[in-house]
Amino acid sequence: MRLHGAKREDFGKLCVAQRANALRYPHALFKKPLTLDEYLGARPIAEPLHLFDCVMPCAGADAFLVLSEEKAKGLKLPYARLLGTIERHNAFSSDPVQLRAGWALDRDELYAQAACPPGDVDFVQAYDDYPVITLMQLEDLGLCGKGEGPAFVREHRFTWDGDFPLNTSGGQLSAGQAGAAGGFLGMVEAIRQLTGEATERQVPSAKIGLVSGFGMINYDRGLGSGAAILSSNE
Amino acid sequence: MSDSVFRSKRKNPILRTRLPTLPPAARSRVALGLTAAAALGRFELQQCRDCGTVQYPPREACGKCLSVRLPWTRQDDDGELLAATVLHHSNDLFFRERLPWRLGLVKLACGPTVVAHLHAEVPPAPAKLRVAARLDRAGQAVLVGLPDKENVNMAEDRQLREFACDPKHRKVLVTDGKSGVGQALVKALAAAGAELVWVGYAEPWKRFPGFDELQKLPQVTLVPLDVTDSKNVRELAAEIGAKVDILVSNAEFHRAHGIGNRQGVETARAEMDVNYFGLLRLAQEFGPAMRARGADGLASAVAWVNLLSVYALANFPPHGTFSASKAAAQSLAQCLRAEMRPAGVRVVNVFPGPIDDEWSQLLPPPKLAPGALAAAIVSALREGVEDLYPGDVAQEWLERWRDNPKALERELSS
Repeated sequence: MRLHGAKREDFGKLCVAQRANALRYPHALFKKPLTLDEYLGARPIAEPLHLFDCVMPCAGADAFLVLSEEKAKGLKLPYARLLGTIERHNAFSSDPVQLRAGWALDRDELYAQAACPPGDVDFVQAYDDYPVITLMQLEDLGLCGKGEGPAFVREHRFTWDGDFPLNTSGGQLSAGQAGAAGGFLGMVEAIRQLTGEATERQVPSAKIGLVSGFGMINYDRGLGSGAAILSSNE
Repeated sequence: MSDSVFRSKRKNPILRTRLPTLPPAARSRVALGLTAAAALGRFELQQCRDCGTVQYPPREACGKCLSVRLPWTRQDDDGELLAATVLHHSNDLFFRERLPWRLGLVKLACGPTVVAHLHAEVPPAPAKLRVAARLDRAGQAVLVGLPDKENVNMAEDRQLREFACDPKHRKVLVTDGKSGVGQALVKALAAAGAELVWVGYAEPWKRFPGFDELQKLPQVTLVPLDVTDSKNVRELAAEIGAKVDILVSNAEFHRAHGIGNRQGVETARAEMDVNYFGLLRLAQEFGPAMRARGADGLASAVAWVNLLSVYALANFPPHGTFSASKAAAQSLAQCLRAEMRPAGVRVVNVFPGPIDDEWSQLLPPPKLAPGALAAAIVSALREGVEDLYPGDVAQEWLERWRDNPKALERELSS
């Protein structure tokens, strides 16, 4: 906030949009709409984080099958294709504050593997333990420039029907953080979106999705970062 | 910013006394290196002998070159505050009861970036500050960010008081006011802002030199106390035990000589009766009430100070039986420490070298002046030090003992 001029309203916009998405996802724990005023008026937890900036830990699980395309076709299963993946641990470990992570080093390779520029992505599922971490991913994945996250937030709409659908199941902030299973929340949602199974929150004509993850046990500074690009089978 | 004017209000006896809770206490064996240094009031971090990198948090191997040669090394305490936050919520019982709580991310000049508890007077980030390793209520070292410049009321910071045992606003019992050290302690504690100082004196039918001077101090109440008399100790504990925040066990019996210069065990027994059993009697009678008051408001029971001797580390044969009684007392003090720790009450062991008193008359200088010893004890309380080696002789013996205990034994016996 001090460095790039982000305001609480910017993070609030992400949280409010994710809640709107969650209301259309039956498994989300949060069932009540959230307004920006409610977000701004929430009690502080650890300044500048307030109540609705924090995930709610919960129990839960998620799963998906990894198999060859032929096998999926043979079993007549709906499926998505994996176009590219990156993973890195302990990136920028000498940064005194983690303002960037491994995606910034690997994103060119990711888009090259997938043969798809960032602009072609129809939706993003980002790891959202706090909305600031989402913003860091959008920047480091090259969806906007470093430090341009706040301006990016102000220019776009992040609901399932917006111009930049983000965390369309509500993300962990509105669906709940199911322990280690929280990391695959975005992956499962991306597969649902690309196989046309996202029911009331289906992103219209979703062809390519970007999923990103962050965290792991912190053995040192510079946590683990990962991302994948998937496409529908059309 | 600091609560410079708070005073403990009279306690409502009907209300329940808050029970002690502790901050998270689990540490790996490696991480206890930080605690070992902080117990002596030192700020040490692991520094790689091969590549020179200073690292935090402590680990088994160097994060840069994987060397396992990582001696704990004294570090400069200056750093820069990168970011700060105020915690308004915690699921940890200790912090939950003490919210709001200020924390920050600090880039140390020696290299690592650390999370530290923040004194209220550290300005908002970015700002220069000092970092100290302090023992928390669980007796484990944590890092604390302090203002760049000292300030008179610095110690009154609400958070800092949780890491210290500051005598200010507290009620103190000094078990022996007759000795030079005892009288210096009473004066130093009164000057440090102790609200009340009970001063014990044995054989109350005899006036001792300095009695009138002590009695003139408004904070002082003289109480008959002979630590060799179990009934006397019990009765005093019944009277004031529930109010004592800091107990200074300084009564000591000191005679020169080892084994061969004296016949019989009477002198050695008298030394044990005061130096060892005296501590045991006090601990049995005052310990339980102090344990119950470990979180009793801002002026809770907070510390137990034992006047031991550096001779407790290795026997000093010219004062051989005295050394043995102090070694026994040190062992008992470790037991007391273990029993007081769950209540967050710190046991401070003081290991002076020869004190400049009549019983060390034949020892050559440097000898520790009672006033200097008292000042060092007050500083140790303020800074949360757990093992105090005041003065040059004690510091030197400590280093020799840490380096090679057998060598010190031989050197002391030559």
